[in-house]
Order: sequence, then C-alpha cells, then structure tokens
Amino acid sequence: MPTSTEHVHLSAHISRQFSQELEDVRRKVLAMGGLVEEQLAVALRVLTDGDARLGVEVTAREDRINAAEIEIDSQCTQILARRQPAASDLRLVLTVMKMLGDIERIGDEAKRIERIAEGLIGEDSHGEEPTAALAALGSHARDMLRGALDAFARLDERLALDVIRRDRRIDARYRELLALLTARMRAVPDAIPEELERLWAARALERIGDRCKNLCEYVLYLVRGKDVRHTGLARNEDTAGE
Amino acid sequence: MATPDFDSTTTIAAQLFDDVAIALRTRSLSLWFEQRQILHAIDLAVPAERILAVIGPSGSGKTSLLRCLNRLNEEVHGCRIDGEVLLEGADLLRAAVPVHEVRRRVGMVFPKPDPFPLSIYENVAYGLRLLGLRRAALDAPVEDALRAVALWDEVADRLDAPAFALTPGQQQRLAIARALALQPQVLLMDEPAAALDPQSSLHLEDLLRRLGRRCAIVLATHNLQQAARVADYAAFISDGRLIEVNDTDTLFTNPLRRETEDYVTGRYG
Repeated sequence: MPTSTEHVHLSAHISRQFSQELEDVRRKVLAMGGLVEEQLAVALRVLTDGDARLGVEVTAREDRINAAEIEIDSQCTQILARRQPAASDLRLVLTVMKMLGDIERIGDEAKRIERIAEGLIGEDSHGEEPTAALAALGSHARDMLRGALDAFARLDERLALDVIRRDRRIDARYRELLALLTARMRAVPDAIPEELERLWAARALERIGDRCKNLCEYVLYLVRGKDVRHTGLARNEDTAGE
Repeated sequence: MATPDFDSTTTIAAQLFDDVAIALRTRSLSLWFEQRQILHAIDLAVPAERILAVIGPSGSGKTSLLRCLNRLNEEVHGCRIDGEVLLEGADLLRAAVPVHEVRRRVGMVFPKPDPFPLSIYENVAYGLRLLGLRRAALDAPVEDALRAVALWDEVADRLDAPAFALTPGQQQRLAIARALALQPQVLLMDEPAAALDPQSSLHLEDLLRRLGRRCAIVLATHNLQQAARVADYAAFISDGRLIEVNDTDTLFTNPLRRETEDYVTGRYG
C-alpha cells in the first residue's frame, strides 16, 4: 500500500532564500489574519458596549488589510514565476492565494458590522436580547476565525476539521436569531429598520463563519493535498487523518 | 552493499496503470559496475503510448537504467546485470533476441545531438539499410520519420546536405527521426534537451507530446519542469533505487513519499 507523506513538512530548502520567501509569505498571512481578528473584535465590542470611539481605527486598519492582501498576492505571483514551486510548496502558495480573498472579505464583513453597530447606538433601549444573541454569534465567529488561522499556522488538520464542523452551529444560531428578529419585527413594526440592521449584522457574522470554513478547507488541501471543497468529506469525518 | 538511510522500497500509486497497456517492464533489475551496485532491484512498468519521466538527482542511476533497457551497458567493462527486461513477454537481457533487434524495438536518443557524418537523408535511412531495405523502399519511411519530428518542411529541399549543417535543435530532431524510422515500441530519451536553448527545448517538448501517442517514451531528465510539462507518469529514482511511481500531476503536487517531496521541492533529503 502506498504510504503518505502524511503532513506537510517545512524543512529547509537547498535554496535558503526560497525557504525565507515562503516563510515570509506565511508570516504575513498570519499577520493579516491578526488584523482581521482585531477588526472583528472591535466591531463586536462596539456592538455590545455601544461605544463608537472604539471604532476610530477601523478604516485605517482596513487600509492595512487591503495593502497586505495586495503585497502578499504579489509575493505569491513572484514565487510562482521565479521558483516554480512543487508539491507542498506549490500547495502553500496556492492556499495562501485563496486564503487572501477570504481573509480580506472577513475584514469587510467586520467593518460592515462595526458600521451597523455604530448606527444602532442610542437607537433602541429594548435591544438587549438580540444584542446578546448577536454577541454570542459574534463570539462563535471569532473563535472560528482564530481556529482557522491557528490551523493554518500549525498545519493542524484536526483543528481545521473541528472549525469546519463548528460552522453548522453558527448556521443554527443564525437561524435562531433570524426567528427572534422576525418576531420582534411583527411585534413592533416601528422597530423594523433597526431589526433589519441587526439582521444584516447577523448575516455578516454567518458569512464570516462560511469564510472560516473555506479557510479550513484550504488548510486541509495544503496538508493532505486533496481538495475537500463541496465533498462533504470534512463535515462527515469524525477524526482527522484517518 | 551500502544501506540507504531512507525507505528503499518502491511506492506505486494505487490503480496507476489499471487502464493502460504496459509496453516494457523490468523485474528486479540490478546493475553493477565492478563491485559497485548502481541499480537496486528496479521493478518499473513502462506504459505503452505514454510518456514516463524518470527523475532523480545526478548519479541516481537514470542513465544507467535507460542504458539497461536497450543493452547499452553490457558493452561496458565490469558490467553485471541481474533481473529481467520484458518486452512482449521476452526478456531482452537473456532471450535469444539479437542486440540489433533489441535496439530497433527500444530506440535511444542521447543528450547531445549525434548525427552521423552523412547526409540528412542517410542519417534517417541508416538503420533501415541495416535492416536490409533497398533504396526504393527507403524514401517513404524516411519522409514519414522526418515529418513525425516536424523536420520535413525544413529539410525537404536539401536532404543530401550534411546533417552537421543543421542547428542543434534540428540535429536532435534528426536523431529522434533516426530512431523513429525503425518504428520502435519504446523510445528512450536521455536528457534530450540538455544541449538545446530554451526555445528549441519547448519545440522538442511539443514534439515529445505528439510522439508519446505513437510509442512509449521513457524520458530521463533532471529538468523537473520539463518532466512536469510533458510526462504522463513520473518515476523518482534515488541512489539507484526506485522510490515512487505516480501520475505526473500527483507526483508534482502531492507525492506519496517524503523522499520525492524533498527532491521536487528542492529540500535537503
């Protein structure tokens, strides 16, 4: 029976420069992910604390996220053109290029949530229940994002699979929140504009969960060399790597 | 005998050759020069009408392996070969197959273009004449071989010119035409683009893709990009041992063996 390389090993290349280039890209993706994590954390705090001052850095941070996306993307293109990477190196570069788009859009969603949260400040004195539900949903999304970035940093397929499974929980909570908001709209039609805003925020958090799932599917591709998108494989597997 | 510091068994991807015919097969093929063992019990299948790349570091035994397949090694002093090279069930090493017959059925193209000091026409006709074909019967196979290597249009009006007048890229195509004229079942190519500039190499690769539907090609190369571009299958050989055989796409994106991974990614093995 064929054995498997089992997991990616990032030992030194004969060309030390090449090892550094790949490591640099990896490090920058994690740094960019860190910025997006921060963006999401701030958005959630504005939502729960109702303090708009927390959001002053959001635009500047978004600029840094966008700049990082362009820089890393360009570095990956250079590596493809100059190094013509193979096997795990090729998968790393391809994974990073795919991850960039999702990470950047998670940043966009976080910014959207922050803007919505600012708009809700002082609007409604009876929004504790949906705000708490949004905060819980947000906390799940944050955990998923952290898990996805950790799974990439450690090339940890167990963690990646775990995060993918957590997406179902986010979807369930999203549907619960949707029911709550719909009920509130029926009960107090005047509050529909606010509830719709909350709905957009909930939708953004649910989308973040989806994108974290994407990130983890790319990590599985990087580690295993198999594309698990649209296969149901990741969700159905009970244990990783078996 | 030196023991390798890696797993020296061969890993062949599951169901790799399920849907293809095998043109040639080695069984436990080992080669020694004097006391030194060069190849260690190689079991390699060469699929018909496909291109199999043999990759590996310099000195890993790629050329030695190819030279075993059409009995070029046996002329080397101190050479000893064990195992079998099977073509249509016959062992080319042992059976009463005459060596010229082996080389007709298993052709070879060398790293440097090696035209004979003859005309373009006579270079291609050379092997056919040895088979006893007369002049009248030569024109058609010579033209066919020159067309197969996309050289006909370039030389049709000067077939009597010396082969040395051709460019290196054309000379290499002529060498391939010379082998093809004998309608081999297997064509061995040892670094066929080694002496060519990048553009001529690409033309040659294009040609290989087409020829790969005509006979089995075994392409030994240390140019990994070339192997990735042209081969259907790839075999990784290291220290005279066959490590992994896989389809080219998988071998270059997700190899089964760590030794292969180290080699194709340029890591210290």
